[in-house]
Amino acid sequence: MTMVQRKRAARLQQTLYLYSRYGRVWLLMLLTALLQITIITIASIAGLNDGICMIAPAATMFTFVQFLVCMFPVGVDNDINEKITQDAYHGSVMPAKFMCSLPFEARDLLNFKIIMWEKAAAVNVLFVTLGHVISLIAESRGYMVYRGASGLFTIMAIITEIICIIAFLQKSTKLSIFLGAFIGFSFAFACGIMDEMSGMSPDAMSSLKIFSGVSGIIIYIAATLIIAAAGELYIKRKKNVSWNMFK
Amino acid sequence: MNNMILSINGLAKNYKDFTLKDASFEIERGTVMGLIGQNGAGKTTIIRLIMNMINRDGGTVKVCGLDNINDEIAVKNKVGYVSDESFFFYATTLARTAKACSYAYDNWDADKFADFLKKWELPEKKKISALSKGMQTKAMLAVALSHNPELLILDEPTAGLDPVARIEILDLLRDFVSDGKRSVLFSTHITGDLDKIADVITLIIDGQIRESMSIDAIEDRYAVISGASSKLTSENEKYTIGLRELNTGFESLILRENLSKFEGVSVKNPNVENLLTFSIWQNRKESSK
Repeated sequence: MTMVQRKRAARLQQTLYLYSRYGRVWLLMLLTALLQITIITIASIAGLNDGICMIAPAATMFTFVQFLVCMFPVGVDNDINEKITQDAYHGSVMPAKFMCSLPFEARDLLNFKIIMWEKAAAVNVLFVTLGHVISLIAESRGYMVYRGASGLFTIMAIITEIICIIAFLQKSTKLSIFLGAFIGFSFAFACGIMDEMSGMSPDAMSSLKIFSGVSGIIIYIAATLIIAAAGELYIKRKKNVSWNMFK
Repeated sequence: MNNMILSINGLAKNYKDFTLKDASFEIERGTVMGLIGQNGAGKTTIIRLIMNMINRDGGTVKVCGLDNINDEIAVKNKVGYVSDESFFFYATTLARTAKACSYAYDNWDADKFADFLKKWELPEKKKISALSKGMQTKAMLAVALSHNPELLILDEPTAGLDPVARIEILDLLRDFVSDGKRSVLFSTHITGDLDKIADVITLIIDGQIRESMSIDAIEDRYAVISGASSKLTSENEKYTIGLRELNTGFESLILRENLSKFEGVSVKNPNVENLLTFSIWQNRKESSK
């Protein structure tokens, strides 16, 4: 997506935000993220001790809810997009004619959806980062969040997440995808290493903990890559998209 | 500056039960064009194609020399559009709509919009759902005019308006084109409105453009004749357009050049309504054959 396309999509976003129920999508997203961080906080402060190592990865998986919210408006087919935009932002009374009369292209709508996904991803990453910060605090209080060298692992996660947020602020989709993948694989790798370092735990839940942590991140990253790649590919391949309002 | 503000050439659109065929016409700057035709003739289809709301199956649409698909954003900045029904989001207000438009349009003039609201006594903070149909039409017009368009496209805007509101809107359209740089494309069933303001009319019947001519040329080209049934012969009947046989005689539109074929009939100058109705009747006659 070029900067010009991005600017136009941002203008469409401003228009939609003012003129629609689009804000509600964001509210829902933020609420789910808030719930996520609340769970982590309560778990950390209440001191669930070893049980917290299940909570943090589970909370990471919970970001999938936000992804579901964002996946719908992205879509890959323009006809579907139109209907979905109608449903997602305006209920049954979306003024499609009004939208079509405004100086936007259908392509702007697609680009806007990609940007919206990016923002959703940034919000997710931001809250996961906060989760890790809280995990770190919990570690300092003596709770074992991740087995073994968990402090090092958490700090690494925080650093990569901050880089990911910077990438988003720099408005680079490719960089976001790259860093997203980097974070995901780092997490997966680190989880495996940590487990090895701490030795085979007698804890019967050990493999489940690792599975939940790794799978949460993998799902997150896979969704990131699939949505972004599909959206970008669609825009590149579709030379002449139309609002297709009435067919 | 290109003097043609809108050029439509060979425009086509195929639906299962309707086809728009090879539609071509042009609008000069400083003119009001009336687009007339019966229900389902293709008027709204043409307007939607100009606005790129639907995919065209053929032809080209150029607004101020720009292609309406390749230069969609530039074209839409130059076009003000008023739909046949309110296209606003009912749950919002005009103030919020104006704010949204200010982000969308390059040339949004907030002062101008405020002036329209004041002039037409449109409440800025009231929900759009609470406005009457007339008020919503005026609001659409205010939005369409406040980004300084060069071409105004109106799809049956005066339907359902009270006479005062209609006259006010027609006056506004006349003012809009008075500088000779801007134009109006006006689709309507109310042909009386066109008699008042249109410079050019384009007649569309069953998806085909039948005429695109200046309103003055209607009288030069056509005549309405009426007379006793005995004056209608098998010889001259073929020159009639939309023949109506009545108990008292007959009435028909004919090309003025064929007047000599009819003797002893009364002749009057046609208006837009005559052209429209007789053309529709002629089309029905041809379709039933």
